[in-house]
Amino acid sequence: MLGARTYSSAFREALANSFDGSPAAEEGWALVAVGGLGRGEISFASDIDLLFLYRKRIPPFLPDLVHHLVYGLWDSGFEVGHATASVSMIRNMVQSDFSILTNYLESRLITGDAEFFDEWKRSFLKLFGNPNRRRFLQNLIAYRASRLRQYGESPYLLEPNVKDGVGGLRDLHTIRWAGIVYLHDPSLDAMLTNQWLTPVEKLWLEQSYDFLWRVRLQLHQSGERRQDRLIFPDQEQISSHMGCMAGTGSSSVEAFMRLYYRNTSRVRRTTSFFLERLEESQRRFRGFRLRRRIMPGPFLLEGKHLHIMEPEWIKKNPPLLMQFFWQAMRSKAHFHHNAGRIIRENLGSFGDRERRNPDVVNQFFDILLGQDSFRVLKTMLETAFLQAFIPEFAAVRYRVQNDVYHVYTVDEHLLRTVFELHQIEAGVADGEEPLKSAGKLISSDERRMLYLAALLHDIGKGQGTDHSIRGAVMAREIAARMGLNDIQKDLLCFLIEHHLILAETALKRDLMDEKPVVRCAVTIKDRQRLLMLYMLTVADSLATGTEAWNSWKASLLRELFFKVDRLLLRADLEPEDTEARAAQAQEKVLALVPDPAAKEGLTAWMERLSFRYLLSQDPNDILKHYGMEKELAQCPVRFKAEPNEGGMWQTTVVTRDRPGLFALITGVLWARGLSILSADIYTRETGVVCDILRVERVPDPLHSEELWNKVETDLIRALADSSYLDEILQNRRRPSVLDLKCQPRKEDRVVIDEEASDFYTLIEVYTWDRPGVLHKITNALFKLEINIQLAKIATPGAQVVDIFYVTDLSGEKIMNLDVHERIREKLLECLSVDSCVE
Amino acid sequence: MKKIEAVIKPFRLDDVKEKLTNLGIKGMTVSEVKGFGRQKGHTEVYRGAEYVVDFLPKIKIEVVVPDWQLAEIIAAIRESAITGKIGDGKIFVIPVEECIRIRTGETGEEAL
Repeated sequence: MLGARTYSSAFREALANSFDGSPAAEEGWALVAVGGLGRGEISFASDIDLLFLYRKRIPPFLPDLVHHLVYGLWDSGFEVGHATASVSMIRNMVQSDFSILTNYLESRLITGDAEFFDEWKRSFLKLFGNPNRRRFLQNLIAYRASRLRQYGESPYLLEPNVKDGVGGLRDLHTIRWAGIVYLHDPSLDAMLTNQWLTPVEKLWLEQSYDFLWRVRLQLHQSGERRQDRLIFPDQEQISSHMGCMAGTGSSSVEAFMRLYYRNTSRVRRTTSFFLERLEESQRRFRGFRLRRRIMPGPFLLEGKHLHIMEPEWIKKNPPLLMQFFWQAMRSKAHFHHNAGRIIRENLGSFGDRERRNPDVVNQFFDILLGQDSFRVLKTMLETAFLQAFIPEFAAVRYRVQNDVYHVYTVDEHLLRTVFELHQIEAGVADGEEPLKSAGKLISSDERRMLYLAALLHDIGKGQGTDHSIRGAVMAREIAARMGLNDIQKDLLCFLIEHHLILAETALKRDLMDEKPVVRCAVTIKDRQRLLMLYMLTVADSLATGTEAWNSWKASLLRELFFKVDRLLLRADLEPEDTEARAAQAQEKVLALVPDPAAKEGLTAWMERLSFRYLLSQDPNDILKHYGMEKELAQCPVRFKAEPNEGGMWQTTVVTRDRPGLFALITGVLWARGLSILSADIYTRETGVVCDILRVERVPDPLHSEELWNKVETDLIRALADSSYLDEILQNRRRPSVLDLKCQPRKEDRVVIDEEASDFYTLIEVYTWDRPGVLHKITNALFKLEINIQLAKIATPGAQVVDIFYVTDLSGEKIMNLDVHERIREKLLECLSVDSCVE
Repeated sequence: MKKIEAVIKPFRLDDVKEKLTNLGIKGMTVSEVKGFGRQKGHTEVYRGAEYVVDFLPKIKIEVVVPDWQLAEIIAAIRESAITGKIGDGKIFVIPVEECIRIRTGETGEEAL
């Protein structure tokens, strides 16, 4: 600030000296510095505000002088604002325009008739008699309020305006103006003497004044354009000049901005309190009584303000602090600045015992869940009481998140998330499901945990990577302190640990693909938790900034919600720890491979495999399949056969997918007289198919080698030439009479289900077991242009139960009822013909 | 010069962007849009009530490229945006008459 003052006085001097002789000696005129120059502080890029003042009529030399001086300054590159006016003109101007008035409140003579100037200054200040003073104060407060509204909008928060922004230099000027009008003295000492500021506040203001000026000077020095906004590149430059260093969880810019926000926050609060005190002291009828009510605890509700009457009681009974806020919420009262001071002074007596006190905790929940909670929580934060109750909060105070999305500091963001949750429940945010009925569907206990999760969800930020997990760990401790039971604790930690899962999946994953949706479902496990996570996700996004949420993102999130909800509803999902077991399975497979380079390739491959596959296959088999898939580069198809017990064999076919593949494979096996007992087919994302078929009736078990070689050859040839399959089917080995099973026959059934899955149509076929039935079915499906993605074939006894997960050729569910009919018809027709000749 | 407008699935944005920047594309414009093609919307049922979902969220990418790079860029977008399932999107090519850099006044391909 010294720089600003020095520059200002030097400038004035230089101006004064530039007048040699004559005009300066004339009477009845003055060249007055107003605005920043008048205040005695300007920056390198500030406007120069000048007033050419004269008594009644404009002196003859003045127009030329003005012309010369102003043009001269312009040409030298200064931004000059000037007015040429008589005393009475000034009086009129300031009465009609408040900003002109504030501009002229602080003025200094540069050159001219000193006596005239002093006289004018005195009379100017005399304009503020009592009624004018009151009006002035009202205008001042309104002026400030509109400025705060304008600069409190999000774009101004990330790149704040040092002069006009919230808690910027203008707030400090506001105090000076009030000082001039009331005390004819703008200094902070005068405020202190009049008890409009406390000593601590005066110190804060002086420190912040100095800090902001340093920032502003740096800004003007380094920037090419004249502006007061701390844009990102400037933030970087200035942070290093100011000596801010990167810490464990933040960069140097974040450290600098944290310091910046702390300063502006103090200035804003102090200025608000100052104006409040001033207003009070000026109240017209001192004896005028506001409605007063004594509230339980030593509190007094006066008008809208809640006071603490007996501050000494707090030391003996620290829970009174929480009760104060609780009472304020219930009475919808505002906080008197004195109360704020008392709270701050007594924080020391609020310790661990009070944090664990069940009454205190209950009152806190009441505050959290109350309609007015944002306002009350904000005050708790600003008086540092929230940090006393939840010490973990101190780490996120003023913590900046250095990107364009996060407009608010972490502490502010957490409070706003709570606010947005209230808005959602009040039905303001979204008129659509699932939010519309969400509030009614969660229990009161769940509601408590949801709001607490909203308040704490980012508490792990600033401690390195993965704040979700860190936050969950911290929350567990906080929950224990609050005396929550295990169920509540688990719910709270779950919500915090996974508060990002819905947003990340919806925005970064293919929702047409089953796996990411299933992954969400197995993590979330039940519909209530899904609903709560959804509410938390929306509130979190709304509280991040206007850029972070829009209807486009909302529709993506909604799509994911419905899909996961349906999966959870059907509850045919694999049990609890699917994700964990799949991970375990992957570990086992990796353990079989010693070489780390190979491990990498294997891991990447396994990433894209479905849970169903990973959990149903033995790790050795998985590794075997991996090997087979790799060999596909050389061979169009890989085939392996292994004996199982009871005369059964497990055959594995790995090849590239194509229409009718399964029909082809079943056909080849049937042609060799094999009977397929069960089949699991898996189609990979990459278009590779892995089919595992269990067969029996191997003709010559002792010389199976031969058979399998023939089968492999058949496969290769049939894949290359479709007529080959027809050929071998014609020549197929007729089943021996001994093999025929004689069973009572149930009716064939075909069921088509569109509800069971969001990704596939399910076709279930029930018929009796006979040679080649699987081939018939799959061939029919192929002819109907149906693509089989997954199949579960089983032959319990003599029955055949085949479930096919299918899509049409473009990968979509079938959906069309006419097509369903056709499928049913064709399949039943095919099944009813005893011997199916192509 | 040609302008490429590509409508793709949202989760593919990062892949496409990486591919294009690796090919030396100097800039692109991205917008969040809603639309439908043959994929069409569908009806959701939630707790007994039906909701029609008409428009699906997509991402639109706009880049202007010199003629000689056109085929390469189109191939790159296709490769990185494709999933093989319906709803992958479309690429449109539009001729561009002129391009001017505001700050310097440069025109033509240099201004891209």
